[in-house]
Amino acid sequence: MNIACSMCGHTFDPQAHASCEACPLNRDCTLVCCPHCGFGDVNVHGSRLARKMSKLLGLTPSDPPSDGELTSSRWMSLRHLPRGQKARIIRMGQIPGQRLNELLGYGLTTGRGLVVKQHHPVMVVILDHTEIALEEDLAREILVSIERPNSPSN
Amino acid sequence: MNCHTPTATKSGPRSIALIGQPNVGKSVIFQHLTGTYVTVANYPGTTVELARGSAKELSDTNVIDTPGILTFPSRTEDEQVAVQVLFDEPLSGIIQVGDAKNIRRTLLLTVQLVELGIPLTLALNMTDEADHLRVSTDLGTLQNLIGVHVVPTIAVKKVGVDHLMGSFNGTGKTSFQVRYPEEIESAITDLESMLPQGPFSRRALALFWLTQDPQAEAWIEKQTRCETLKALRDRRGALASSLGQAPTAVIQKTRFDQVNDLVRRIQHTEGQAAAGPGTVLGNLSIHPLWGVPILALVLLGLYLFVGVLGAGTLVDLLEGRLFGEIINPWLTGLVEKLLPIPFLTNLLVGEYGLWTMGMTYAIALILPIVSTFFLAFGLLEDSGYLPRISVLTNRVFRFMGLNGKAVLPMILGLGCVTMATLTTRIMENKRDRLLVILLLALAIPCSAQLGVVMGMLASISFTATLIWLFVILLILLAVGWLAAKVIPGERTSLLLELPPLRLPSLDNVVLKTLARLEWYIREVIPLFLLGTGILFAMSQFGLIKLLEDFSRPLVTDWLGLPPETAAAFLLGFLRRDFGATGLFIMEAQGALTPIQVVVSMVTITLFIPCIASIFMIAKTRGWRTSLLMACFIFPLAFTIGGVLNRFLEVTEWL
Repeated sequence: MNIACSMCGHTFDPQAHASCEACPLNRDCTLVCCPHCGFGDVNVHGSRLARKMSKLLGLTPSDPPSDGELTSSRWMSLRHLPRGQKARIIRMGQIPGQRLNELLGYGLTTGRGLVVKQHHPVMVVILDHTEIALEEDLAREILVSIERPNSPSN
Repeated sequence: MNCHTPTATKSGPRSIALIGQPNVGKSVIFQHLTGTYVTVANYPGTTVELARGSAKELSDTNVIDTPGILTFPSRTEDEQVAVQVLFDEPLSGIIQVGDAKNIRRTLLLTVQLVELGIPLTLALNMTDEADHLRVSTDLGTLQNLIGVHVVPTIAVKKVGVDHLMGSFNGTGKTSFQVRYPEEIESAITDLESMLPQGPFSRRALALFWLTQDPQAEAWIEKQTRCETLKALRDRRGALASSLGQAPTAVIQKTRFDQVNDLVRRIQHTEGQAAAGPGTVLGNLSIHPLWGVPILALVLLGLYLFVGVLGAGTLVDLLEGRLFGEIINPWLTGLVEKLLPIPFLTNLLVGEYGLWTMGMTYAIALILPIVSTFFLAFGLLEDSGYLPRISVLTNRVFRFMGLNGKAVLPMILGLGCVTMATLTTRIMENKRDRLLVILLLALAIPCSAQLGVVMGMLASISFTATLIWLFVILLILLAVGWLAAKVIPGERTSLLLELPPLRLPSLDNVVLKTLARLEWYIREVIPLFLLGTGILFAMSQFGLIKLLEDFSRPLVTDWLGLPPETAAAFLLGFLRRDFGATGLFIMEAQGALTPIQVVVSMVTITLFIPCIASIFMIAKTRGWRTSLLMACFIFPLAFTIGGVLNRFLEVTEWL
């Protein structure tokens, strides 16, 4: 997962940051140095305590994507969409017909834009001006594409 | 296959139906259109309440407030009643109430209602909230595009409501029509030629048939001959084969795409509105950390209003003063004077008298408690807070094989289990409804009983209260978890709209409370009197003493209670709070030790529900289910009571 440097704003993936492995202080270090300006920023995702609190506060999904779930930097299941991230529904997966109809009644269908409000205690998404609470097993079946900033969320 | 000869459609006084999605303000608009004279009754064959009233502005016209429906085809019992109204009532018009800030969802229902061919007006409600969110809709263009009158309203402020009744398009015909893919249009044409003439357009009937709406299917099966029914089914099957998927999915998607196109042409959102206090409070109410203390505060408020004011102050005034010191002594004297026959005097004003026990308990003890409870529940309901409790408690119910929606009947069960049993229809399938009814019957004490139980336990110690609470919660969770494994069917995951938090409309809350109380008085009080009559008969023929002797091994040896408690448990079957009150009197007389109080309170809480609840379960689920539940709950309650008795004797915690 990419992070943005607090000093210069450069975004990079701390996991792919080779220089950390070469650093003698790497073990148990929760800092990550920006490859652009060298500033040592806190890597919240590297801290177990911060991750637990983040999940408790509903800021992140309860678990990382499993092997069977399609993820990339652009599309993922709704279940893993970060809080506050705008996305557009691109596919409704294996959902029984009656439930699918109900989701449609709420406006959850392909092409619709939405934002995740929280992940816990139940996932809540916002589309148009409606807040919908849905459990993760439904959210898992909805594939979304992350929207670029400033794109209309329809 | 049912084969029926076609029957004529019903006729009668003209009606206008209010139709719309949940939480859009239908009930508020209904009140404005009808005034004070309203009847609330169960729709025939269902447990769904339907409100009807005479239209203030149109003579000889009724207004029907239908349950909320998200979209056709109908899913839940409530939605099925909404569809059934379309078939059964001679509708001269439909007023669809929609949410102005959620125009897409509103229009999804509108395009389906337009297909019916019944004169339609769209009341776009909550326009003030839409304005606050800077959502603007070009109503003139919308009106031109769909050919339906669109009236902006703010129902809680009575804005725009006056224009609704006179706004119908006279014929119901409009040039707007959803154009489906060619295969579906072809199927519609074929079906139209086979379908009987119904209360609305054949095109709409064909679409109901293709989307397999259960109410439409039932109506068509009644109206159609065997051969035609087979042809209808074959045509639907052929369409599904050619599409490669259920026609419902394609039909709904087509409607949605058309609605999207409409919305693009009529709606604009200008920037983002600042979050008001309602939005902030709404966010906090479902926050994983802040939501819990907010819920605790709400429950505390509920306890103070119902438990302290209702069960304490009001009961004291009514039962202690008014009935105890004024009405009952006067009436007893009068009856004894006018009816010198002891049997009749005892029947009316004796120890198990219809008045002194039945009516006094019903009016002086129970009514104030359920009144305050229904009022508090109505406030929570109208404020939009109840769905948020579903979100907060979803994990707990998930453990029990349910979802957070179950919390709503559970909370209502704390007021009256009989009424809560009716509310289980909000659960999506039979399995979930059965599970919730079982838990209601087993472990949810009604407000009257809860008041007595809390009072008795508090007079012993806080430990006693904790033990009672712990045992009840443990049984609730354990039985819930086990029953979810045993009862066949899949768990339904939570899917729920969270309406914005808003100030409750006091008019609406008071009227709903009165409607609930009217139901309570009509349905439950006769059962009170029946129960009292049974007790009286038993006392006259010495059966209560016989019962005490018969139940000695169970009550005295196993539960460790005095033999007189048998009568309290029998009373508890008739009304759980009767039983608890009987034990309360024994405790006040010093006839029960602390351990005996806790054991008897746990047993009577877990005991089978009152006779009114048994009848309600039988009404909703059948007598077989009702009796099976009783056969499970009865021995479980006594088993737990006996085990607890031995445990407390060994541990000496009390």
